[in-house]
Amino acid sequence: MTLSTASPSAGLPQQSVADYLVTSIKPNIERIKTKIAGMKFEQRAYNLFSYKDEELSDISKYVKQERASLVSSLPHIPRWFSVEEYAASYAKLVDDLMQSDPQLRKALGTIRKKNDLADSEVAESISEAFEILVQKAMDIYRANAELQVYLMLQSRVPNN
Amino acid sequence: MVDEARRASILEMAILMFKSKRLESELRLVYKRSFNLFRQRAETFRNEMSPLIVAGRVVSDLVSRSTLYLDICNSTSMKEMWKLKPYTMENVDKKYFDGLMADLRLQMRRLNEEIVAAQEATTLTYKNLRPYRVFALSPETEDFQQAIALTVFE
Repeated sequence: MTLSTASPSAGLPQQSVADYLVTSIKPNIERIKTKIAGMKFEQRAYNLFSYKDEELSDISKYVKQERASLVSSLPHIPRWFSVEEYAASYAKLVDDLMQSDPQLRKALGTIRKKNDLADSEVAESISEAFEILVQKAMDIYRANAELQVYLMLQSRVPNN
Repeated sequence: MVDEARRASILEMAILMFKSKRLESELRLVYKRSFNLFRQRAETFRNEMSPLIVAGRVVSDLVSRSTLYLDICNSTSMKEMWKLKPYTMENVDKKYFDGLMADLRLQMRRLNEEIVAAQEATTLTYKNLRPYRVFALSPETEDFQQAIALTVFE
C-alpha cells in the first residue's frame, strides 16, 4: 500500500497556503458572534484572523508566524525542537510550492497587492482566488485524510 | 484483531475523507459563478460566507495542531521529524490527544451546521450546497478496515 500523494511529515505546505488565502480575504469576524455562540470559539476565531495587513504582505512572514503560534499552543515541546528552524524549513516548503504553481502564485500576488472587494478588477481576481482556494483546500483535506488513515493503519495504537 | 480505539480512529478519518470529497464536489459548483454576479454581491458574499470560512479555518488549525503534535511526539530530532512514518502512541499524552480529537469532531459538526445554514440562506446563490451525510458505517468487522483502505487509496 502506498500513499497516492507524497506528503511531507511535519505539516502540509498547501494547507498553510489555503489558510493564508482565507486569512487574507478577511472574513467578517463580527458576524461570527451572531451566528456561532461560544466565547472559546470566538476567541479562537479572533486569534486565527488577528493578522495585520503588514503581517499578511508576505506569505513567508505569515507562515513563520503561524507556525510559531501553532508550536506555542502545544503542551510539551522537547529540547531538541527549534521553533525558528522548524518555521524556516516549513516556510521554504511553502516557497517551493509557490514556485511550482504559477496559478496559485498569481492569485496570492493579487491578494497581496490589494484586497478590496469594492474594486471591480480586484473583485474578479478575488473571485478566481476563491475558486483556487476551495480547490486547494479540498486537496489538502483529502491529502490529510489519506495521510492520517495511512498512518493509522501502519501505527501501533495500544489497546485501551 | 484490531482494537476498538484504532477502529474508531480509522472510522473518524474515513468520515473526514468522505466529508472532504463531498464538500469539494459541492463547493466547486457554487463558486463557479459569473464574475458579474460576484462583483455585485462580493461584500455580501464575504459576510454571509464568513462563518463557514472561519469554521473551516478552525478545522484546519486543529488538523495542523494534531499532526504537528504527533510528528513531535514521534521524533527525536529536527531531521527525523520531516520523514514520513507511522505514528506510535508511546510518547503521546493520550488525554491531550483525545481532547484534540474531541475538539476536531466538535468543529467538524460546527462546519456541518454552517453548511446547513448556507443551504437555508436565501440571499445568495448557494442553494445547492448540501450538508454532509452521516454515513451509516460500522467499524465492527475487520472487513470495514479493508474497505476504508481501498476507498482511500483507490
